[in-house]
Amino acid sequence: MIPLYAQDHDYSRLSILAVDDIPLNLLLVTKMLSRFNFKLRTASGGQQALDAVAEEKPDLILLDLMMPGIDGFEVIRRLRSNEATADIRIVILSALNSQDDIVKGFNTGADDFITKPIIMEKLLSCVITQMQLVEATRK
Amino acid sequence: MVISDVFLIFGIVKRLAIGLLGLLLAAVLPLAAQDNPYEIDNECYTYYQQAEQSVADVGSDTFEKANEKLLETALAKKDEKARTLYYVEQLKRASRMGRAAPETERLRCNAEVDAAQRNLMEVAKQTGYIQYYYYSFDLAQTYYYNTGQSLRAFALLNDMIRLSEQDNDEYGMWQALRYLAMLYQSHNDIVNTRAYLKRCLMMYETTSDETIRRQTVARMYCDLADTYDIGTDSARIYYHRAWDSAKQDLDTLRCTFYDALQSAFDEDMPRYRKARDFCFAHPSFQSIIRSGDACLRSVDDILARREPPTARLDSVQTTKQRHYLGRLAYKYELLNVAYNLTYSEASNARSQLSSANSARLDELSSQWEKSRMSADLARQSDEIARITRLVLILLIAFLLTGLFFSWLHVRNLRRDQKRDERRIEELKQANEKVRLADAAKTRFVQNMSHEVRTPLNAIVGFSQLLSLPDGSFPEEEKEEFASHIINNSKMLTMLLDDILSTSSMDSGNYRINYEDGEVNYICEAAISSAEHRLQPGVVMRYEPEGDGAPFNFRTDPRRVQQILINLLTNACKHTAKGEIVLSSSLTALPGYVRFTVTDTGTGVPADQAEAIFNRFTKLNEFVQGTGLGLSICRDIAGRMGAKVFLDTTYTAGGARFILDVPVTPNENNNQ
Repeated sequence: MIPLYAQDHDYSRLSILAVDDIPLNLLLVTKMLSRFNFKLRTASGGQQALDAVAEEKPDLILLDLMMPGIDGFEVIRRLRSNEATADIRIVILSALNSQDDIVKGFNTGADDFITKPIIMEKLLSCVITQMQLVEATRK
Repeated sequence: MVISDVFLIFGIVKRLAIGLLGLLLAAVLPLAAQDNPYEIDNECYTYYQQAEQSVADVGSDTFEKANEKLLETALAKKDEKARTLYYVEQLKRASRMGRAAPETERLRCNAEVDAAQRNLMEVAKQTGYIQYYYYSFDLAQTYYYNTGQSLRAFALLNDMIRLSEQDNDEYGMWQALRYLAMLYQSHNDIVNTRAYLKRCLMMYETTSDETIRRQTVARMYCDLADTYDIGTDSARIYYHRAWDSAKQDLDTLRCTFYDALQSAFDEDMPRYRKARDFCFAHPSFQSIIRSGDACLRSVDDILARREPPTARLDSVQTTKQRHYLGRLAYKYELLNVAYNLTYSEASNARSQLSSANSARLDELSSQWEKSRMSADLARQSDEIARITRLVLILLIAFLLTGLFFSWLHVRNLRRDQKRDERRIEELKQANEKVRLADAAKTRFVQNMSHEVRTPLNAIVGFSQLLSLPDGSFPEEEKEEFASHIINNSKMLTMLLDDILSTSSMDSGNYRINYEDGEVNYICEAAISSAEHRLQPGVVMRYEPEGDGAPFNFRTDPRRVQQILINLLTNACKHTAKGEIVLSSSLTALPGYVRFTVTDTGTGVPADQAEAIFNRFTKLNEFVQGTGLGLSICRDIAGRMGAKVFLDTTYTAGGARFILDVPVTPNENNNQ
């Protein structure tokens, strides 16, 4: 059940960066968000994510934690420590699901935490909420 | 022999000794001068005689001159015996001078006598005339005895006994015993006199020593008989012995005298008269038998049953004779005479006993006892020292044993301690291992969670997309979603298989099924199973050896395939570009089929070559996999007698794993 207010809303000015080392997960997220017209980009690792942010600052990052090289936590720390990127909203999408990992995620600076396997309704309502907050901040 | 005879007399009758000696010398020496009884050089003998005659002449230096001449001549003529006699004369002279010297000079004289005796002893030992060696003791002890130093005389004789015992010299022993007997005799100690005389005579009867056998013992038998009362059996026996062994005229005289007394007591008148007449007729009777004349005349009176005149009785001087006369008078009922004699004898004895003499004798014998006791003590202390030494040795041995055992004990304790420390260390290590294993397991569970969630994520996610109302996605996209679901389901199944096969291997519930397998077929099947795991752009191919002719062998093809799939899947995970090559070889290792999986991926550091085969170990946390794969591979390979390992010699970039499978496996070794 997708909330009604989201229906037919124009999200084309809002950009999302999905980060995951497993291509299939990126495909899944892409397909799940495909009914909204977000400007959606993907990155297959921590470094790629930072590069993409530097290229063009997204409004929201959907971030996997366990990645080779620079992991999700490190990406959050780096973005939050940079004033230019500190205000990007970050939602963690991770297979890690213990209380410790969730608390650690929030403490590092994440705005929300979604565990895998992803429940579509949960993902969509979370993304919509974050986007509304972004829009509200802009006005 | 003459000399010893002379000194016998010295011993018995000290007051008459000097006079008698002179008399005897006078009697003997001219006789000796004719036939030189010493068998020394004649010239020497002349000087010897001069010296001998003047030895007692204290006032002149005749002796010194004669004796020096004797020594000179002896040395010149190399007459050893004459030389020895020189020292004999020197000792005699010293002894004689000492006796003549006043009391105040005693110590100096003693020293001179001692020195002369030592000289004689040394020379006698050198020259081998051992009789003079012991004679030196005789001379010296006579000197001490005559100068009232009985204790030193006893001491000398004691030394003499000791030395002769040491030297095992029977003659010396015999002489010493004889002198001791004489010494006791002169002290009127009848018991000891008898004892020593008996020992002497016993030695004489039993010895094989010729020097002793040549001695005249008649006199000793006389003396021994003398220690018993006349008329007793013992006295009779010993007089008979004396008579039998009498070789000299004087001995015969003595025996005859005692025979007279004996036969008077036995009332054998004819025999008495014969003996009595013999005595009176003998020229030496007056001089040899002390108061013998008065004694025999008194016997005559008693036998005639008349009282002897008092003057005559008084002139009977020896205690022995007076005692005898008393008994004889009693026997012939001359009670008055008997009483007088016995009384006088008793009072005489009492006066003697109460005199300084008896006191000195007591002292002497007590000191004699003392010296004997000290000798005993010395022996005892020797014994004690010996025992002490023994005890000490035992004690030390005991201590050493104790030390040894305590050392052993300490060593054991140390060993135990070391063993305990080792065990503690082992336990620590084991504990550490368990801790590490526990950490690995925790990590594994986390990994598992991640690994399971990844395919599950795809399955759940794409299922949701599929369940959206029609028209959300085109038909071909839906098919793609479905295939993603199926693939991930397969992956999940494989993952579960991994976990399950690990636990089934752990429980030993695992079989290898041998059948015919074909190398190329196994490799191609493995490739087709692993292909779909390839990352985009990576190529996987099979490279058979030579022309790729089929090769069949006994093995468990599914297990080999499983291992190869595992290796290939691993290669897929770590290889982002390039190629993954599976090759087979029948020649690389004889008796084995060698499978090689080579990739162009991230590679494995050489020091991790073995670690990667451990359970739950993953080099890269972010690469998909349970960390069980290689561990499972190795387990399966081990069951088949195969080997799987990282080729550490491969350095061309990426990694090369090798699987060697035996061509003829031991099929019985299957669990």
